[in-house]
Amino acid sequence: MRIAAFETSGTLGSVALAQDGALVSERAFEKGLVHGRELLPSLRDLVAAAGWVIGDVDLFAVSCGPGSYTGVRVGVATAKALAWALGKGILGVPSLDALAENAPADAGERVCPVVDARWQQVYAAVYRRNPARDAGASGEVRRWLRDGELLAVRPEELLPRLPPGTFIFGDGLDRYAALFERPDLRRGPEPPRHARASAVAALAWLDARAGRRDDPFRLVPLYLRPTEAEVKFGSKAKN
Amino acid sequence: MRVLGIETSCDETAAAVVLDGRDILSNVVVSQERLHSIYGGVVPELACRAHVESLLPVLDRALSDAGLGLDGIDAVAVTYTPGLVGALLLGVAAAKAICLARGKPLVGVDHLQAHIYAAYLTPTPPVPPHVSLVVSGGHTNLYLTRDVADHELLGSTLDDAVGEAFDKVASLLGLGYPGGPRVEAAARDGNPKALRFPRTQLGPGSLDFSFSGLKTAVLYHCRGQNASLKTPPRPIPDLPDVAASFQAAVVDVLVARTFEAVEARGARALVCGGGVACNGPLRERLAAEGAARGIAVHLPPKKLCTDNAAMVAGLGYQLALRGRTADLALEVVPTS
Repeated sequence: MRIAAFETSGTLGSVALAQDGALVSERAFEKGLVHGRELLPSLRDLVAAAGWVIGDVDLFAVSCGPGSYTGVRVGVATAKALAWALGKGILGVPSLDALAENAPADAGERVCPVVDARWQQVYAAVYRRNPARDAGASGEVRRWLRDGELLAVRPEELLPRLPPGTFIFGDGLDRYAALFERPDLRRGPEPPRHARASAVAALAWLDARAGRRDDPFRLVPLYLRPTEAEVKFGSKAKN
Repeated sequence: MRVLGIETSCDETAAAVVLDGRDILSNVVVSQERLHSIYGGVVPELACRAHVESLLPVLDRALSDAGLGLDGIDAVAVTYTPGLVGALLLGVAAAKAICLARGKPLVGVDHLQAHIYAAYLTPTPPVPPHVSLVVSGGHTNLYLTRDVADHELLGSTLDDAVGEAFDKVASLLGLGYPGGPRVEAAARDGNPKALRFPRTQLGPGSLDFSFSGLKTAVLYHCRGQNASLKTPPRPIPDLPDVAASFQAAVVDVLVARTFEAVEARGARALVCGGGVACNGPLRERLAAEGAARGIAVHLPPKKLCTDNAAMVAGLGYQLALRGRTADLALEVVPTS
């Protein structure tokens, strides 16, 4: 199975190609919100360099949030239109699932990527190490299994959800550094802070093999929260 | 040549197929008007969320209405300017994806030029050169159109766009959103000569517009001497007269500047497009003035005046003919 994967949820976007679970190539864009300009030319170039034609791609995998609303939408709209125009499959992969893959090998039993979500909130989710992976099923199963939901919460609300020993990382820690200085939380040399399209491709491969597919007509970004306008209107209506 | 047009610059998700820049094979528009009405204007984030949901259903419908698959499409045209940046990005992303997937040429279209092109989709298209007036929620522009793809800007608004003035006055009068049709409806029972609101003229020979003074005059009239009131007390007793008199002032200014432009440039024809070109009194006055002066006035049907993708596909065909195609790095330009 040939997969083309997009990750545009943060400030460093990327595209990757993978075949039967093995990474073929990956290209990261220059930093900044340039996803709209870079995405399709990068895909075209990688496909050509791999000796494929675009119709060879069986599945378009896309990081579907949470993250930059605009960035995620560009990735999702692109993947939807490609899947529709070619009659191929599509799979949305949560950006935090892909980001968790950046955790170092010695991260311990639990990791929590924390992404700055503005509005005094962070996007986060807690992941536990998958024992099956260590038992030898390397590459066949996910390394990290999500415990609970994808969150968009104030950092104070995240803290009680972090079990002792959790390895935390991500740009969401910068603004709230003091809050997260809890002696039982683990920090290490900071792993890469941007989810990679290669991780999106790898996770999509595992899901696709298990028979999972999204409907291109129905796939929407994971925003995790209403718009600012809806929140303000809602609180006005209550008063 | 069959061109698939895509339009997502503001709050309509639209796709259409047009043959040879003339025959509309399909024209699908999903309006978000109801989504935004409680907020009194377009909320960009809500608009973008709706676009990403509507894109594929709208594209799919545009093809099936035309009785075609993507194989039957020769090029894809998309609005890349001007508009809401996050919204433009989505149509452009979809257009690029389709072009890469199916090896089609991509054409980037200016939304305002597309509004002018709407007149070329009628049974009696204009012949350039002509003057073009584009009136919408975001723009009030006068052009000299030398060719469907060559427009010289002659004048534009220095403050509010005309559609914006309608929205603000509608909100002031408690009429809700969108302002254009609501003010027009309220004005039907009013006397357009009841109140004399200002007709702003910006210096001799200027073809620019200004509507903020007019909007303020409406506010002052409605709230009377009580300057502490931000919104006038309701109900407004002479609301129909206020609406009719405001609308008359807007129409007077638009018609005056437009025919000054026609005269200054010696044009023989006039095109008016954009959402505000749906306004009944504006259409009547332009047509009457044109008839009196022997100027051919081209007013597209209303469903081609509001945002749609047929006008994008049509102009896209003309641009493709002129070799003006884009590549996959096409970037959106939110302001014109």
